[in-house]
Amino acid sequence: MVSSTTTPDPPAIRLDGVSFSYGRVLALDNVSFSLHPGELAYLVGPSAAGKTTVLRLLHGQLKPQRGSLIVDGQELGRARARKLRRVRHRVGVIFQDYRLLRRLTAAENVAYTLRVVDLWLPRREALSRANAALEAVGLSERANSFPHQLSGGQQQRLAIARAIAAAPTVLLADEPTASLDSVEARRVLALFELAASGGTAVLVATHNAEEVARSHRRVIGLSDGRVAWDRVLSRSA
Amino acid sequence: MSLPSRRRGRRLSVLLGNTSDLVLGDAVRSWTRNLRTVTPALGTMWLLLVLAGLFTLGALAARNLVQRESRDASVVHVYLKDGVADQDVATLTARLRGDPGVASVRSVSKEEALRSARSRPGLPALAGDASTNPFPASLEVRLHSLADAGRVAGTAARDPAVDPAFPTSYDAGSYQRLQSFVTSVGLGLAGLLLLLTLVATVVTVNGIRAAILGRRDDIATMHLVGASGWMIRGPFVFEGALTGSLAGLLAAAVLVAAFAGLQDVSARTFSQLLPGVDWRAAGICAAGVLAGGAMLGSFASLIGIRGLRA
Repeated sequence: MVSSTTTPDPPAIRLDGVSFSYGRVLALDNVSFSLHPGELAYLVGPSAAGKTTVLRLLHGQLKPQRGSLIVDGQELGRARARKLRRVRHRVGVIFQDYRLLRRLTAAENVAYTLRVVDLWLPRREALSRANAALEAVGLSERANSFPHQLSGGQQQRLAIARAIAAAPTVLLADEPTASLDSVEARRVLALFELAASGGTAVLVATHNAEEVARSHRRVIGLSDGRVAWDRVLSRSA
Repeated sequence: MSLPSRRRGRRLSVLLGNTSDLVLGDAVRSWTRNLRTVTPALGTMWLLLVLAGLFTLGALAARNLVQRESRDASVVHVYLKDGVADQDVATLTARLRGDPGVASVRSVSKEEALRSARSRPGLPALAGDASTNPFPASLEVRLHSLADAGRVAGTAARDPAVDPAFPTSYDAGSYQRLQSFVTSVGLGLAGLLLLLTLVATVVTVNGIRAAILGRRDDIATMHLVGASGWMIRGPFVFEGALTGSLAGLLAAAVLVAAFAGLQDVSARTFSQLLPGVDWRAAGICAAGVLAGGAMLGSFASLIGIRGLRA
């Protein structure tokens, strides 16, 4: 069964006719969708469907070659460095390759991002919030470990803790459960649900059909760089 | 203090604390944790600073030597006419003393000139053979700079108290040769120091850039989480300053030890290996090496991090 949602709030994310090519290879072709605050959606599709490109565009790492791209009320297509930084402060990202700062401990990794986002945040409070985020992902015992001392799954959870700690308005996750076992994956998805219930717009790119099917959430399917379907899975689906 | 201003002060201290921690604290943590990656740059800087320090000490000694020789050469004898009146000599002496290029004027009598000639190789025989004293009385004019010799000698030569046949000891050719030697030595030393500085900067920039390139992923991540330019560049520049300071400190220690060794050898051999260079000069040179290391490290980091983006 397919259903649709309408939300009165302005969308936290809006792509309108966005296209992007890597050289001659067309990665996205006229992609349009929007995501409202508090909404959690999955971006699915086969490899090279354009999932990571969508996330990179939404994080300002790429600029759309055509179309309009709005994140948290800011048009990113023409955003300059300073504006882009401000948007990034409100967007939490879980990168596929984690992107942790190797010279900092787990707690420092999270606290660093918190203080980059808010320079007025006292160091002690940043560390306390970092520890709370680590506890939420079950990593509190590894707070003083460096990334290279953590397993792949632990590094992924650390990346998640860093992304959610600053309570972002938009949360982007690229294959966030790829290195996790099923128990850890469920725990992480519950965290995303929690973030969405707090008003964060959450977009999760994933291959994991099982977790998508279980979620009963909106699913945006990409195929060959186009939106192939966009629907909400009902509990009976 | 009122409550709002106290709150404002507390917020400001948090901001300053965060800013300094994000730059200085991050740099210190990173530097101590990644000391191994900066070791090649540290070694290179140390070696170049030791070389620069030793070169500077050598250049100081060479400068002192040339200055001493130049000072000795900066004396012009103004030969007086036989039987000239004391009043005329006094007038000439006063005129020369009034010249800004003249350091001092001393009167040399005919007898003193003869005594002096007897002590010079080849002249005692001539002085002894002559039935009368052939050496004229003169004014020994000491100049501030060798460059003034021609002008002062030319002015003095026109004075009526001066021997018109052989007015002064000034020989334009020899003075010019000495002048060009002093200039060449100065330019050569400055050029060598410039070359050494250039080599030190290029080698250090490459060493530090290699260390920074090893952390390219970290820089990209800092960009991606929204760090400002100063949050990214600041720690690297401060780390460069730390590396440079450590290299400078080690180089200064080597320099002081080397100077102490040379002083010891000088004392034992009754010679001056570094003429005119004392402990004060060596200390200033060591401090310069330390400051130079810090500046070189910061500058090299600043250059090294340019262009590294996410």
